[in-house]
Amino acid sequence: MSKMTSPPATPSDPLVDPTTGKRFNAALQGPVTHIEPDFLHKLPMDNAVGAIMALTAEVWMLRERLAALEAELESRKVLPAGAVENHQDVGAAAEARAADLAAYTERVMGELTRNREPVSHIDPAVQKFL
Amino acid sequence: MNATESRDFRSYHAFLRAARNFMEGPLVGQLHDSYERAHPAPQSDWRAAEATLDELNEFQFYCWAYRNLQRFKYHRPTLGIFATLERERERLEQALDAAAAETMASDPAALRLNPSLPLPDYFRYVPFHQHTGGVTGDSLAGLAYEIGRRTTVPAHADPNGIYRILFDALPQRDYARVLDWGVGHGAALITWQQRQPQAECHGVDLSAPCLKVANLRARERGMRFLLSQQDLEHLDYPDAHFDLVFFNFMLHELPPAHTPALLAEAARILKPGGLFAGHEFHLRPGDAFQNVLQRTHAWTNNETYSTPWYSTPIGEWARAAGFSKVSITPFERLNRSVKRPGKAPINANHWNLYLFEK
Repeated sequence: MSKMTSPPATPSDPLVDPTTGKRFNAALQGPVTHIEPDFLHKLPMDNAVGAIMALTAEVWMLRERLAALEAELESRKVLPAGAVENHQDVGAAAEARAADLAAYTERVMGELTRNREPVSHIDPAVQKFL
Repeated sequence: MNATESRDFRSYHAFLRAARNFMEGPLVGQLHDSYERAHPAPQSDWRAAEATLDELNEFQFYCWAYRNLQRFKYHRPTLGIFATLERERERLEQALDAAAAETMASDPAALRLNPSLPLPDYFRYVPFHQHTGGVTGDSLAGLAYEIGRRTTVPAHADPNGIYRILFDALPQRDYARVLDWGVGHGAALITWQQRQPQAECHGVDLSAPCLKVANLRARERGMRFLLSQQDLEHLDYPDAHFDLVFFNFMLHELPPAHTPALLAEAARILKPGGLFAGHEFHLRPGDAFQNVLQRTHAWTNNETYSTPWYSTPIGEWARAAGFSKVSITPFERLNRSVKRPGKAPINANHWNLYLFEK
């Protein structure tokens, strides 16, 4: 999707109150025109680690459930033993799996490399309406 | 005709909706508890409440979530709405354009597009709701907006429910000719036509991509709409033309510099006794906690004109625009509270119902 306006030359921080100069932690004081705000710079690392731990637990629950499903399917002869473990994608299927992995990785790792450019810029000229 | 939605797409967006419901429910409850602990005495000044809240982890996460869940919805690789539409751009554009061409050829009044229509500055400046490029910036922007609305009010499993609630609240009359003021993707007008099949249904919008979606959806349902791409401030409808002009949360997207002229134009096209009606969010009087949360949305979600909207004397301006009866009342059916066992519910939002009669 195309950008609506080009980024202006002079950055401003939407977390700074322009009248007092005070920088807030998360309460935005104006439109996001230049720099994407950083809401969580004071979030305790314990909380972030806690969220990652909770997510890890959820992923494990999925893994465990899939493993149980594979075991059941094998025991009922729906699948031969080791069918999932030994499954090899070939040709187009292998390419699709690789692309899926690359996209999955980008979705996750892309958050770590995200820059501070807003995904959508408000034109600073908007101030004349505020 | 819709974009192809994979199983992953559906489950991803179901998760985002659940995350928004968490944010607007349990997180707000927890935030309120922490706020009361941090400042047991009631605060009447929203600026003071903002300073208190700004120090709380829950508030910081609330602000992060309000801004970034919207980004996750539109912008994430592979599963975001934009990426999903991009994969099928050619097919989707062809379907929208073909439907538009068929309508304009067979029934020109049913779809009037104006490629040379200048967009007002206030509209060009702001990509509302972090919809990059706005709803005019791309040929598929209407479809993106249509998909995105599923989580606009995440508590509503049926995104058309919010329109029905509005229509239920209107004085029950025979509205022979109605105008959806900012028709967008057309879902509200479809909802109206389903309830009032005899009504002549008009829709006006600045966005051609949205009007093409509205046209497509009307055709799919065998409905005849009269859709037109115009600036709401300069409409080409005759004087005293409509029995009802309705809107859905439009007022907060308009800067005060334009609101009086927009109201005057709406009054001009209404018949005497006709109704200009809609719902809109606002600040709950005397509730500093709610006021801070509501005000944060202006900036976190690019609802940029919400801030001046909260101090707009809309009733006074409506009378000046030519409306003889002006009613602004709390819209209780939309004023959802966060309920907590053993504690008072928290008023996290506030909606008003606006009924202006000419």
